[in-house]
Parts: sequence; structure tokens; C-alpha cells
Amino acid sequence: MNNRLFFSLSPQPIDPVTEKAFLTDPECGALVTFEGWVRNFNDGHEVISLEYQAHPQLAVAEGEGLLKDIAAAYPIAAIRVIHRTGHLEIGDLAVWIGVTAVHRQEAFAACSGVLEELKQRVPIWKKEHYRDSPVVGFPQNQSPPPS
Amino acid sequence: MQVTLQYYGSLEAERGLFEETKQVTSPLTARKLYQNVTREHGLTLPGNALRVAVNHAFADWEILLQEGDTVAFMPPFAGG
Repeated sequence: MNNRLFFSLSPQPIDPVTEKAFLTDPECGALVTFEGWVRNFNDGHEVISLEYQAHPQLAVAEGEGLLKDIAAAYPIAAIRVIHRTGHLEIGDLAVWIGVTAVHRQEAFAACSGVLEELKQRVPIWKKEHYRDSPVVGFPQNQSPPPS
Repeated sequence: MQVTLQYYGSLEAERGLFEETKQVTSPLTARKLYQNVTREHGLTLPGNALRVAVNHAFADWEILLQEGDTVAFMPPFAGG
């Protein structure tokens, strides 16, 4: 994978300022970023914290693959994606996506496309802890296609 | 032969552990291995709701397992 496309898992908090600095490019007129935050409710429960688990080798391989697919579909300059693993509190940054392009339209479209593909393709799981229940929850993005 | 099994997401909670090694009889497909552990440990997720990876790559359920393989059982994803 070249430097234009970067996908990484991080057990440490994500710093958007640091990530954004990697994308500086005088030829680009647009940077679109997305921040996914940990929300305090889901599926009728008050969420107090959660944990992200990834299949490390497969998640990075699939993440890099989806960035290549998005870069082939949109005339973007660069894409950078960081997804958290481990324990997160309410308000923590769970995923950060940055896309640069000459113009805004393709940066917006590619950023949205990265997030949608990530949800479907990248093997990451979420375990939610609830205030009103000792049972943990395992929300799902969708049923996977049969192997 | 010996294989290593990994349980991701809700499967880890159901099985009560993330990883284990098992002695199994060859030939054995990933599908049959999951059926065996489902029966043995009362796992509730059907195989057709999961994806399987062998040695850190997505695999077909009909793959024939080899000595030393690592088999990951993966429920629907929840990243993003």
C-alpha cells in the first residue's frame, strides 16, 4: 500500500489534529473528515462504555483493500482511516476518516463510501456495557454474506 | 491433528474463552468443526450467520483443515 492510502487499528486514543497533519497537500482544495463517537444509548439501553475487538490481520488487510476500491472509484488524493480497539468511554473517538481531493464533491462521496464499506467488510466487533443490565450487548451492522 | 480455534464477538462470550486448541480427526472441514463445537458447547449462532477465516484469511466453510491451522469464527461485524 502506498502512502496515499492508510488504514490502521489503534489501541490508543485517536488525535484528529495529528491525523489531519498527515493529509496536508497543496494540490488539494478539500479535506472531508468523519469522526465516529461513542454514543450513550443504543437499542433501548443506556450505554456506559464499550469495547472494540478486531481480527488484527484481517481487519488491516480488508481495510487496506477497501481503501484501494474507494480510491479506484473516486478521484481522491489520499485517504486515512484509524479505528480504535479496546475500552472506550462515552464521547471517545471510535473511528476517524480523512479524505483529500482536488474538489469537495469526491471527498464527501469517498468519505461516506469508506464508512459504509468499513461497516460491512472490516472484521471489528463491539461489546456494549449498559447501566440497566448486567448483560453485555453485541450490536451488529448486518448479517454477513455466506462464505 | 491439532488446530487452534478463535471465537470473536458474541461467540467469545458464549464459549467463555477467546482461543483454544483442539485435537481433531482429519479430514475435517471448517463447517464440520463449527458444528462440532456448537454441539459440544451449546453455541447458539448458526454457521450461516458467521464468516470463517483460516490462518488470517477469509475462507470457504468447505475448506479442509490442515495440521496447525488457526480457524477464526466471526459473527456479523460492528465496526464504524
